[in-house]
Amino acid sequence: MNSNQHYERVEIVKIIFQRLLQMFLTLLGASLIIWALLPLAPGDPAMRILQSLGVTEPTQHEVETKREELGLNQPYHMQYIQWLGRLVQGDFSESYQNGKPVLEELGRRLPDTFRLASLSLVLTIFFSISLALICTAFHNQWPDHLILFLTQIGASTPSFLIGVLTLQFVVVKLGVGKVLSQGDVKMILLPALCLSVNRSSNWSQLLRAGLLEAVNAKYSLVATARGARKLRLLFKYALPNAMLPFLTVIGLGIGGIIGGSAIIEAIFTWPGIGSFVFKAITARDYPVVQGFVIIAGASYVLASTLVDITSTLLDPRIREGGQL
Amino acid sequence: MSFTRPFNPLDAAAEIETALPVVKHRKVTARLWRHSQARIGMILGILLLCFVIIGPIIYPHDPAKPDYGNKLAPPGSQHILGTDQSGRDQLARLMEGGMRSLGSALLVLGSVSSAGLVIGLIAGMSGGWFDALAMRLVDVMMALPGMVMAIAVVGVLGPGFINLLVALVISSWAYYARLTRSYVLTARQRQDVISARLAGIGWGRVIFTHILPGVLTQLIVIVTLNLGSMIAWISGLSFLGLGVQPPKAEWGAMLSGSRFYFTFAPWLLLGPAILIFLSVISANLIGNALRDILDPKANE
Amino acid sequence: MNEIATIQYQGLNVTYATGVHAVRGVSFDVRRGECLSLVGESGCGKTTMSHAALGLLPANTRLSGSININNIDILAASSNELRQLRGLVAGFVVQDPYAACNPLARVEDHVAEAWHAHGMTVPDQAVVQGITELGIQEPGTMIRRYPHQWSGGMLQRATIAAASAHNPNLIIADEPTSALDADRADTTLEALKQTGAALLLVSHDLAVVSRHADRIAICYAGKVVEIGDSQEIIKERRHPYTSGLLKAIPSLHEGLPEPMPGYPPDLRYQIAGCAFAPRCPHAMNICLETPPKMANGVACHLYVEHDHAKEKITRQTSTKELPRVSDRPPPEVKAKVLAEAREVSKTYRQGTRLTHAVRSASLQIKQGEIVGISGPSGCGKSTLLRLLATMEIPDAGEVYLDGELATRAGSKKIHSNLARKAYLMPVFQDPISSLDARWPIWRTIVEPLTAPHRKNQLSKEQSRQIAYDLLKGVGLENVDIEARPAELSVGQCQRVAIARVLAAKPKIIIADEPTSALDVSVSASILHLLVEFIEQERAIVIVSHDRPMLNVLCDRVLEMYDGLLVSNS
Repeated sequence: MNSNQHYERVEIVKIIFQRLLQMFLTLLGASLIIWALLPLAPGDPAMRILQSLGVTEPTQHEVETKREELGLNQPYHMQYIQWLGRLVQGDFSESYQNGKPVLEELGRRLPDTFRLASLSLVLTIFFSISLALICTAFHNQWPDHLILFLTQIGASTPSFLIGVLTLQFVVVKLGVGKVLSQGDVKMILLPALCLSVNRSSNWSQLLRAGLLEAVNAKYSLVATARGARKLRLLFKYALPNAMLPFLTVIGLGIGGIIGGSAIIEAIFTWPGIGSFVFKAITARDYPVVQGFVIIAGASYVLASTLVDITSTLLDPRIREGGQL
Repeated sequence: MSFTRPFNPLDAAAEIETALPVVKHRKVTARLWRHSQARIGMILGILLLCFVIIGPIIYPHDPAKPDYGNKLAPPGSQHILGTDQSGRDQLARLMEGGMRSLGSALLVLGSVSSAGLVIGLIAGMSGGWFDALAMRLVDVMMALPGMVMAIAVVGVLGPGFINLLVALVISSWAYYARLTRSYVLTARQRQDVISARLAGIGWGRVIFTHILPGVLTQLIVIVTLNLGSMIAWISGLSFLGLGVQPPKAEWGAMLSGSRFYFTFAPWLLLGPAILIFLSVISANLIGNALRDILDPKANE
Repeated sequence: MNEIATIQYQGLNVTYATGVHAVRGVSFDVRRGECLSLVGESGCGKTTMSHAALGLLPANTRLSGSININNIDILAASSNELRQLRGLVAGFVVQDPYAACNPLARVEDHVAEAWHAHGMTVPDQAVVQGITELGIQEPGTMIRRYPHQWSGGMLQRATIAAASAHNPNLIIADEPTSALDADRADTTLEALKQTGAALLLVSHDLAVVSRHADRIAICYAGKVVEIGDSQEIIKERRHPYTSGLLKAIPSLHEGLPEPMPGYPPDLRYQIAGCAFAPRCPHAMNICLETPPKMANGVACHLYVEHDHAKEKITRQTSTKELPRVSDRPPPEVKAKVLAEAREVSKTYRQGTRLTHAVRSASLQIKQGEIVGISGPSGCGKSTLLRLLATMEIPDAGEVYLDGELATRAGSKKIHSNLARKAYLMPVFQDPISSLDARWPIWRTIVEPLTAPHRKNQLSKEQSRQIAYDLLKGVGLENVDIEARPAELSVGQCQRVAIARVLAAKPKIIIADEPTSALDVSVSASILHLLVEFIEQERAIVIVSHDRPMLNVLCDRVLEMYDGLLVSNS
């Protein structure tokens, strides 16, 4: 017994280690892409920086010095390594708009974005699980049909559309909430709801299919034959089995929530990094855009790794390897 | 609470392992038409396409011509859906904008799926260094969420419609390449493929006759399923000012421009909103039905 | 008192929402402590009958008649009454133990499910005891493990323990052994009988059942056509269907199994007379008009005195003599070697785990012989076959076709041209996936003829004609050549696959479990098609777990165990 448990623990540690290694490699790959994108920007980077510092017509010499300073004359791989080194030390370079460090600027806005995205994630998960459970419990009856109809509409309304319509009809017309929410915590519910409608519709349909598959599975039939009630079947058998693949959906969906929250922030003028980055794009403030992409990408990779590890730990088929 | 074990037609099918063939409609279009949701989606889709393609031909107003004396005119006999903040005809702009929204979504999906098809097919069939290289690239591309990737590319290229489309292509081809490759890898081991190979049919013909039709079917399903979200992305990013630049019309950009006039001219907001919704739901309805019909799992 | 029925079916009718009238008036009972087996081929309604007994059919199914357990009519019972029966009074076992277990729950929870489901506390040691009684020694740590960590045979015993944990009066077992190897099947059935409950055993395997059941009920097209003592049923073969079924089973029949003509009826339509009449060699006029009544354990007009028309129907029966193995000349001793595997090995790597699928096996296939390879599942027999067919490259050793080197370890190349010129053609276990699902069957059949090395120029019309002729040759003249595989039955798909092989005219047929997905009467006809193929210059290699079938079919049978080709009989 003891040796078995020990064996299990070693397996789990090994799996988690593998996932973390995988995450590290993914982050490295993502950083490479982000780094490689910047040269795509039109114009010479040295020129851009000088201009942003107020030097409108830099001399040839000034440009050369700046190039040297930025390491632009070095071979590409060295440039990447240096860039990555600065990144790891927290040096995200400075914003063209106000010259302040990007990390500081983004860090100030990050908590607001985090609040919005995580509340929306919680709402989305809550809605999709409850709707899918109702659908399965009343399969092919009116609650199921009604929810299917509503989620079909929800899944076909993009978040930004819901955001705009809500802002205009609910906030402007009915006077609920404020047009400029400015990060007021009391105002968070509306944008978070707008952000979760589309995704909960999609997810509840996916989870409904998973639940129905589990309810139709042979083990559910056998459980019925052993005397299990319908509720037991639903919660003890169908839900855990449907949740495992659903966790993967959640992990992948976190990326969508991060991107989606940027749009919703811009609509509701929520002072997070999303609305900040759209201003930066229009202002051609590349360091800010890059900083945003790094933070958003890293959070996504981190979050999906966490979800991945969780689902591994919950699934005995992976957690406890092959036959004895 | 009532709870019924859902009826599974496969159970019944197992019960009638008889010889009599089930007469089925073999043509996918016929089966789509019989699918009631798909029918709604297809009718909607055809109407929308007519609206953006035939509409501009029969509707006389120039979408780009401003009429500053007639700004924010309500819907009426001269301008059926009224005019916008610059006095341009709203209906004509909706038609022109739709062409841009729908056309570009189809264009982007068409190019990413064909790029993914070619790369995935070569990677899956050749194996070796190309496969390894292509799949590492795919891994890296898929490490970032699509939306973030698109923001990154638009961020460096600068706002603009072409840049937006490039960004969307860059951020979404990898998925199609991976999908195609995994299909090809499975198909290579399929028994009908092995039989054909042993019988002396070369790989080239096997790909074209056995493997490619299946890949294409699957890609068509996925492309249709993703069409809705692609329309949403394009109009969403244009809404934020990253895509189509004024004065050009596009549904998302029009939505963005009209929201400041909402109190005086709510119709300006509703037009593009409804059209975006209808396009997405049409694509989703057809996509879901196609998946039901063509998914090998559901089709067995 | 022993004659009291534990479960009693009376005039049960079941119609599914699809309109399939799956059970058409069935009456029988299972007495206390007795084992009654419902036997029949797929689609005969046996599973439906068993599921109906616990109210497990979909809600929109129409049922009539009655099923009595403990004086409660299942069809009229409230859901609470049903629940009291399920698990406590009646146990339930299904075919695949892995599918029957929730993969996320420990085995001990499965065994204790009946207690949990009824809100009872599990008695101390009951789970361990239940499992120990079924012959698993010291299950202590095992039961804390998950289903995927158990072997199939053990897990099936655990599900039997789960079904019998409450000492139920009745156990309903739906194909409890068909996912298991042959030797496991016997011990599993013994374990089921040990529980002492009345046993309603559903099975397609008459051979296995005849060794264990007290009584057998033969089912056909939703009816019980013959019921009685198992030994008598096997011996007397009164109903023509029983007789046909028995002739199709290698282990219960001398010589090559005999196929049954025709197909079971479509149960969506009404059947006027005896459902078996269209296939029956003894059918009379009355058989087509009046359904026979069950009398003395058999439902057949042959055994009832009628005062009117009893003349036999004359029909065109195929007069073709069935080939017998003994009729075939023995392969010449000095016959040419068509294919040879020399010391081939194959190892699969999964993570850090190595599976030695084939270890240094050598095999010669000579002209005119049928070679069988048998062994338990996972013994490497299919891998050996794939190596021989050059579908895979060995890790060690070489494969020769017609004396030419075809594949060898360390080279990815296929060295012999023969390997890709229809010298060998495969027949697979799952016929539906061996055909391209998108293609009409005629295209699949003529595909080998379009191979470039044949230099054929076939027009579409010629191709369809060739396909039609070949389909006729495999007994499918009534099938639409434009049909897609999904529109055909499994047996028909296997015939199409064989038509494709016949079109290719290979020297060797490589058959991997060609009959194990099929019903016995269908598999008999597939074996016949294969045997008809054999001529002096050709050979068949056939892999199967069905040893009796190989024994009657093959000139020699090789046994494989754990990757080693062990005996040569």
